[in-house]
Order: sequence, then C-alpha cells, then structure tokens
Amino acid sequence: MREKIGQVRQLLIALVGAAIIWGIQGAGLVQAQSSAEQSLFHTYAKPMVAPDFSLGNLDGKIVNLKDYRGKVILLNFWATWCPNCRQEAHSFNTLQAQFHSQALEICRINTKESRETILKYLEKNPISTPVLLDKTGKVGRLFGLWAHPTSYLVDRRGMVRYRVVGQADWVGWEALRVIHLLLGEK
Amino acid sequence: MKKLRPFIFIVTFLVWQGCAGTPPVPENKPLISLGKANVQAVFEENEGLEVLPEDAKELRDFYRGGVQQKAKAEKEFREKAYPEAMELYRSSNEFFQTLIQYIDEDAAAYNLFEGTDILFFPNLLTADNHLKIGLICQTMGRDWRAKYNWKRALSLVKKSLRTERTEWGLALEQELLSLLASKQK
Repeated sequence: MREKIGQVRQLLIALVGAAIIWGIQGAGLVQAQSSAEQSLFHTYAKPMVAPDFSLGNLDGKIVNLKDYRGKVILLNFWATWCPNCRQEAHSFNTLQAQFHSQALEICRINTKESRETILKYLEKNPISTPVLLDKTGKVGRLFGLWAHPTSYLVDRRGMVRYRVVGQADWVGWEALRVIHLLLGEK
Repeated sequence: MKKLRPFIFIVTFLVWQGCAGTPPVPENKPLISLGKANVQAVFEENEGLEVLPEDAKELRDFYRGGVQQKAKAEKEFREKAYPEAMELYRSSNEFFQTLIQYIDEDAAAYNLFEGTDILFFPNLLTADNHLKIGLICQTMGRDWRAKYNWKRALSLVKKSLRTERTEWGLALEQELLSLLASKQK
C-alpha cells in the first residue's frame, strides 16, 4: 500500500514538474513572439520593386533612385516639425560615416517643406547625409507614407525589404544586423 | 383583440425606436463636388508600393490595400473578367472591413500628418464594391444575391452621407435605389 502511495506521489511530482517546465517554455515562446512583433523593422511577405522617382537635392541637382542601383539604400522620410525625426538624425551621421564606403546610401527625403526652412534647420542641426526635397509629397504617396519619420530599406536589386515607422536607433543592434544582412547580399 | 394590445404596443415601440436610431442625412452639410472626391482621385492617392494582406500592419495599410485591390478589380470589371473582378472586390472589402472596425467615418480631408490630407472613404468604396458585386451577380442570373449586395451597399452609402455629403455618394445612392426599384417590379 505504502509503495503504491509512493508511486502515485512520484507520478504527481513528475506531472507538476512537467507542467512547470511546459509553462516556462510557453512563456518564453510568448515573450519571443511578442519581442518579434515589437520589432520596428517590418519585413515584407514578398519584397517589391521600390517605386522609381526623381527629386531635387538642396543644391538643385536631380537625383534618381535608379542612380543608386547596386547599393543598399536607406530612404528616410522626415520633416523639421517632427520631433522624432530630429532625434534620430544624429544616428544617420554615424551610420553614414560607418557604412558609406561599404555601399550604403542614405537619402533623407523631406516632405513638403521649402528649401529655406530646411537650410535654416540644418544651420543649427548639421547632418552629413544628402537631403532630397519631396515638395508635393508625391514620393511619400508612392511609398504609402502616413507618419514621420518613416524609413525604407531598399536592397541592391532595388527591392523594398524593410519598413520602419517611427523613430529608430540606427546604430542599435537591430539596425546594424539588418544593414549588415543587406550589405552582405549580392 | 385585448390580448394583442401589449404585442401591438411592443412592436410599435420597437419600430419607433428603430426609426429614432437612423438619423436623417443632414442637409446643411456642404456638398463635396465629384471633381474633388471621386474614385479616380482615391486611386491616384494610393498608387505605388503594393500592400499585400500579409504586410498590412497599420490601419493606413488596410485602407491603401483596399483601394489598390479595388483599382485592380475595376480594371477586370471593365474587361468583363467577372470571376477575377469578384475575387478582387471581395479582397478589397476584407481590407476595408478590418479598417472600419476602428475608423468607420468617411472624410473628404482626413489628416495624415501636418499639411497632408487624403480622401478617406472606406464606407463609400465598400459600397461601390458591393454595387459591382451585385451587377456581376445579376449577369450570372443570381438576382437574390444581387439584391442583397445592393441593399448592403445602400446602407453603407447612407452611412457615408451622414458624415460627408458628396456628389459621389448621392450618385451612388441614386444608382442603387433605381437598381433596387427595378428588382421590385
């Protein structure tokens, strides 16, 4: 009889132990899933060709997206009135210095602001990355822009691979992982 | 008859309640011309990078996705490729239905961000999709299904007109009323 009670107790302990382990694993899985969902870097189910465009830069020179074919392009839509855009601007300078020689091209596309407004802003907040002027907002519309800042990462083949809505830490581990991944592709 | 009185009272009360719950289309709202708000203008605002259902993450994506699917559906409809058009209209409505759960009011100037407004008509676009689905059903001889879709379309048009009086919506309403009237003859 005692032996039987002992066996039942052991079985119960084993079951409770298994339940605890299962629970911990499940929680870990949920945590992993939610952290993946929280990632700012949204991938696309099927990478699509980036809509082509031509925009003038601050010197009046026309820049075409096709000019950068073969490079990894970071398109960042911003505006001077957007506080999050101002905050992430500095990390672009670091990124540019670190990866420009490795074929990463950063284009900061300003939405619907005048050249004068941008120049005035840049006097106080200098940035080393080129600025393109989307005066009518047409390029933003082509990409489906609905918030500032929004960034798109285009691979060497001209396919849009990632979208980041909101402020990102462009020298953080996640951004660097993605950029390394894209730069590593042919 | 005396026994029926409570039932008559309840039915009358429910009917009255139902009528009270459907506010009339306000006449004093400014009428937005067809030149300003129309389906082609909506298509132009949403062309470009395609939104696939798997990629739709934000409400704006659902609107854009719905409009893009509708643009494709219209092309198929014009070319009389009805089964393809039907599938695209349904896909478009799936996008809009998700959106309408969160934002269910149409707007001629929906503010996206500083200095940028868009035409935002999820109800009217869904209604137009139902109108076309109904027309396809009619060509297939499925009259009951056509009528069902037009009725749904009409209720969505009325909803749209309550928030935004557009020539586009009024024209759609007229078309639906005449289609439904033709089915009642």
